[in-house]
Amino acid sequence: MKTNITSKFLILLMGFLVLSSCDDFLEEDLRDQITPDAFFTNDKEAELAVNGVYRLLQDNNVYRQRGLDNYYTSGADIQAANRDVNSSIHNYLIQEGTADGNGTWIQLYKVVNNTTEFISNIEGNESLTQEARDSRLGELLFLRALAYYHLTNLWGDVPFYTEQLPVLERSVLGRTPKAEIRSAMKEDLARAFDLLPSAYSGNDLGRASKWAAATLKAKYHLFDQEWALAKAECDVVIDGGAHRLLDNYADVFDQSDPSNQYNDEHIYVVDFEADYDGLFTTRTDDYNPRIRDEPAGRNNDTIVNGVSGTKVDIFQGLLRDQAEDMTGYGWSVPLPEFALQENWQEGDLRYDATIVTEYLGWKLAFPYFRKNWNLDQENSLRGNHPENYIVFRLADVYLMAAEAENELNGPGGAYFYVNKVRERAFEPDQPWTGMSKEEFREAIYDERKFELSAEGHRRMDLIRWGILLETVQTVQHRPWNNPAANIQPYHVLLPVPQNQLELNPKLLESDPTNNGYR
Amino acid sequence: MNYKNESYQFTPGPDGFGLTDSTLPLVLNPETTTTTDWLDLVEQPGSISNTDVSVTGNSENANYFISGNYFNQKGVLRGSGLERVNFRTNLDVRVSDRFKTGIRANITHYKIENNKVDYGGIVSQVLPIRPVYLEDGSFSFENPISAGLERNPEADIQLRVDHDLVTQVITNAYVEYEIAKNLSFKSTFGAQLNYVKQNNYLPCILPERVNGGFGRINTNFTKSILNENTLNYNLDLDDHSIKVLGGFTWQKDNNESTRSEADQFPNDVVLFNNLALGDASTAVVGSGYSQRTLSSFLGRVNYGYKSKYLLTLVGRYDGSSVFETGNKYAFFPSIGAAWNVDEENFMADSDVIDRFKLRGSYGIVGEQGVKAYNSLATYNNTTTVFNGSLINGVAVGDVPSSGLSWETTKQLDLGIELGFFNNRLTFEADYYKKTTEDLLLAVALSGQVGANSTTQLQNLGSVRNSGFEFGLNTVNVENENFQWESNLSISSNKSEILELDGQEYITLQSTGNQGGNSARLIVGESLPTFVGAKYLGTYKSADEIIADGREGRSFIGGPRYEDVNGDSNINDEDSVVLGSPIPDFYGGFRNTFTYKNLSLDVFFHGSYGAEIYNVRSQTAYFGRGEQNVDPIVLNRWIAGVNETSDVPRAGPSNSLFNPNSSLNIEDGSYLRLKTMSLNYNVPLESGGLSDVFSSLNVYVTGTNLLLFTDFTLGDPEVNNFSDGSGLNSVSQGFASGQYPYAKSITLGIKVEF
Repeated sequence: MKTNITSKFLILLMGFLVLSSCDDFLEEDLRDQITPDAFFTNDKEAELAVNGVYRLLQDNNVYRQRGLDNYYTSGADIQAANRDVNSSIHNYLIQEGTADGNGTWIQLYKVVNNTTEFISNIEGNESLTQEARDSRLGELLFLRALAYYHLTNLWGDVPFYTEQLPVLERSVLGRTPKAEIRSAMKEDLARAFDLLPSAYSGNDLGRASKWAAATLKAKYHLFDQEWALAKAECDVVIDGGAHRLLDNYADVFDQSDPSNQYNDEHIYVVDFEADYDGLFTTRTDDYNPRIRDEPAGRNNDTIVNGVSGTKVDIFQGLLRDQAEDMTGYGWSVPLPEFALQENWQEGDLRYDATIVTEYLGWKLAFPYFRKNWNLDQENSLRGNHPENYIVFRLADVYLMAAEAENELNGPGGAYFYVNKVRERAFEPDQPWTGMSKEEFREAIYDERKFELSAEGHRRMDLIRWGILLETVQTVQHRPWNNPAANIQPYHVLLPVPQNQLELNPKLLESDPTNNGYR
Repeated sequence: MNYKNESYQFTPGPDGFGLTDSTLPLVLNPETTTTTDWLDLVEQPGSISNTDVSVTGNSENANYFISGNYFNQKGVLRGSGLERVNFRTNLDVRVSDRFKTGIRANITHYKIENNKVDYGGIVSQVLPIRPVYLEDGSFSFENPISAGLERNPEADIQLRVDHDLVTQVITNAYVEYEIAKNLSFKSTFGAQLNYVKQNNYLPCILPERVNGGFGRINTNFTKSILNENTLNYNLDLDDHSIKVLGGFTWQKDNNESTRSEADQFPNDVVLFNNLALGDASTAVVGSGYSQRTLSSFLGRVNYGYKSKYLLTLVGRYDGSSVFETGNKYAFFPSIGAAWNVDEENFMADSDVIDRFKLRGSYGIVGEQGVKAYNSLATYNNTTTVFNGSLINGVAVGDVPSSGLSWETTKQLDLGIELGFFNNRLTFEADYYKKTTEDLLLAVALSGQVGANSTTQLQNLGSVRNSGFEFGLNTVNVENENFQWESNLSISSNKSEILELDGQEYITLQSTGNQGGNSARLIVGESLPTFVGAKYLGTYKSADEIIADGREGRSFIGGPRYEDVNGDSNINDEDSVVLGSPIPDFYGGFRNTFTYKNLSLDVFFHGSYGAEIYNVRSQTAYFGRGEQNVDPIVLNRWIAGVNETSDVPRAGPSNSLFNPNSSLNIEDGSYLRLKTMSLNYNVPLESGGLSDVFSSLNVYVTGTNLLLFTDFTLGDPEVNNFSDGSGLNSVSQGFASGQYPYAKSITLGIKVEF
């Protein structure tokens, strides 16, 4: 018995010693995650990777909240908050460490890194079909060019890479001249145009088409004042025939039916959907009113149809009768001058589609953007809205073509483009004619304001025209805002975020003034 | 309320230096605004009931111990609590003279009712001007200032379902066999099994649930297996004693989890019990697995000479799965020696000194507590939506580590133990010095890296900790009926960052919204160090604003900070060292008085010289509209009323983000009466109780009865050990209004039969 036990122990002991000599015991046993080395073996995996990049745009720092809108809509002549919130941006109190766009910078570089890693894995990958390889590459090239478009718009020269670099190399890159980045991206977009399909349907609606690539390329050219190239690219989109201007301006923004949010004028949108965690948008809340602000004279008593009570109670009751309410934040309301109809050309049908100053016959305390609000309490709830972000639409392309043609050859050939847009905007028609080149140019300043307000174009337009400073200084702001007192010439760019300077001092090498902020 | 109204009437004014514009509408109507004490609403007196029963027994070849415990606690926040049942059993069997075996088992099941409310959120965010119920009797659901949806604490308590069910089995079996004289083998095999099921349900009728009910069930199964095998050799030769131990241990921990949730339940009939009744399109499922392994070879030699001189040598060769091949193993030796001076002949006659021991040790220990798989590149799963339909995707995951290895600490300890007057007075003192190298830190990388989280685990830097620990025990009075004992302990630690791989500092934390850095590792400073701008009070005149070059950005009555680099911007470049959460010293003082069968035990505990970083100051002091402010703002700068105040006026910092500053730093020193206990041993002889009981003890204990501190945000002992993101492992001392340690009073009876 005893010897038996002893020998069993010795066997056990031997067993442990064998185990100990076996290094396998200390190997990492990863079971629940995908590793890159075993990926990109079929078309479906390539699709998953591209899908992941689209998700990066559905982020608070980009299109989902006011990430990009902070710098594309605030601080200009169209809109601001209806009280003293978010004012470091609108009031040009931007400095390193304050409203310097750090979150947006980080998120856009996630797009750059993901697309770059996926492009290098898909390009020339024989495990994928030709069709999948082409279209996925096209989407990734477009998405990366979109990220660099925003990065160079906001910061000018930025770190630039299009190939997979080791982490420690990537993290200390200095700034590359904006022109170099943009010319590389224009080439990428030309390639994306060739690779991408012309149209999508069903559950692929929302992916980038070749027209999205061409529109982005047109924007790059326009911003760089390459008029001929911009014009040519706009013509490609217009003549491509995949998109058309809707007959009615308001219909372009009608997203009241969540199952039918796409229309022929949309060239590229970022899709949002209610009820999916992180995939709904809260941007609409900025455009929706707060009930605590509305209606005008809200706490006064009144009598409507024999019912007496405070105005707000009766008004809210009427809203609720039609399954509506004012549950937003009021962070984006039109500036006083823009909201006044007398400042719009007479007969401009876009005014009523854009601005709302009274609702259900009740005067509102503030004006709002009708094109971007949604009071529906069934499909578009607070903090859970389904409205897509319209990034590019055809009217913008027409106006870009008009502008480029005017700069190139004067107004003669440009009237066609601008009047296409004005045709639906006015009843009766008020086409442009008989202008000088200079008159046409300045008229375009206003035409883009009225056509494209609150769509994320205005501030970059003012910057590329070189009139941001004077415009901000002359437009009327509400009492709690004073951007005119603070704006400086260098405010056309953001400072490279302080957080990034701390982590990568090389970002100060090419420009120790950090875009003029130090 | 007045503060909010005033802040809404603030404008830059025509001269740009600030104006309260009384023509702007009031945001709150003083006549209709209610006041709610939310903290009072969610708190209740807690209670605990605890019952223990145990049986022990011995027979010739076996010992056994069986016990049961029932514990039931009602928490101090309404709706919280814990109910626990526990069984323990120990069994030791002597099979033969040379062979022993035994088993320990500890089986516990408990249910935790989690806090239904977000306590920190109530402190910072839920405004007193918000009513509990709306006029129609329903719960209020929004912040009255921001109009944002906000949880209603009362509704949370009444309606939320949130509890954890935990089953825990801890077992350990051993065999011990004497192979030959002085040589024995012991093997233990232990398993810890932990099964957690978390049930959550947010009913449709919760005011913030606009989409119907939400149910979630998470499960977590962890298994930890540890096996230790040692050979022991003991030799006693007259004056020499030698003990040698050699062995091998291995440990494997793994974790399997599942999660499932569904949203948009049409009603609250089944709660979380059937997630299939949520809307099918909202169902979310997931699962995970993780594992880590450790193995060690170890050897130890103890040598003693006449119990005067003691020497210990230890060597370990440890391996961990979390490091890459080639870095898995590291060797950790240590040596220790002690001299019992009181055993020496020259001390034998001393009447005064009874105990006199000197000891010292030096050794290296290793740390491998980083997450598994940190060196592997991964793609994370994600989802996106096209034309309204949800689809899967992947994205590049975290930055994998490269060449990571063990963090090592070299530690020197020196100590002395003294006993006087028949050990009525004993004294111990220790000095230590620890140098930790290759710290395992999640180092931030620049955003342009573009990975999921832009930190990477690295071995970086070194830090030295040194300090003293003193302990003094005295028996002040000792006679037949009365005894008084005291115990005083004091410790101090000083830490200093020695180097950071060539960098001056590394940012640990950036708390608050755009507040900039709040804690750093700085070479030459302690770990960690609070940083921020220096707050100078309020601007008193336009001239001061012009002198600082801050026209249009700062206002009279608004906050003023020291502009260290003179660029008129206040940001991280103006950061100065503001303090450290490491106390100068801390300690405890215990006194025990015994009179006949009655004893009283009083224990004070305190800390001196630590700073605490009050994360709330940003909003509480500067009054961001939708958040709570501190009472100090009653004394704020008000035009024409209180123009000398250094508390900023309401408004100008309303929407601006204020830098982390000296305002956030508070003295965290405190002294607290930690426990006080009165204990009575009921005399059994008198009542004839001795036939029934072998002892009967009645006691009352109070904990956390008194607290003396200047800290403004509750309990200085309770703070975040991490806040925000980044190098959480070494951040500490941030407080954001956590629930304070509860005062408690316990009544108990202990009976032995």
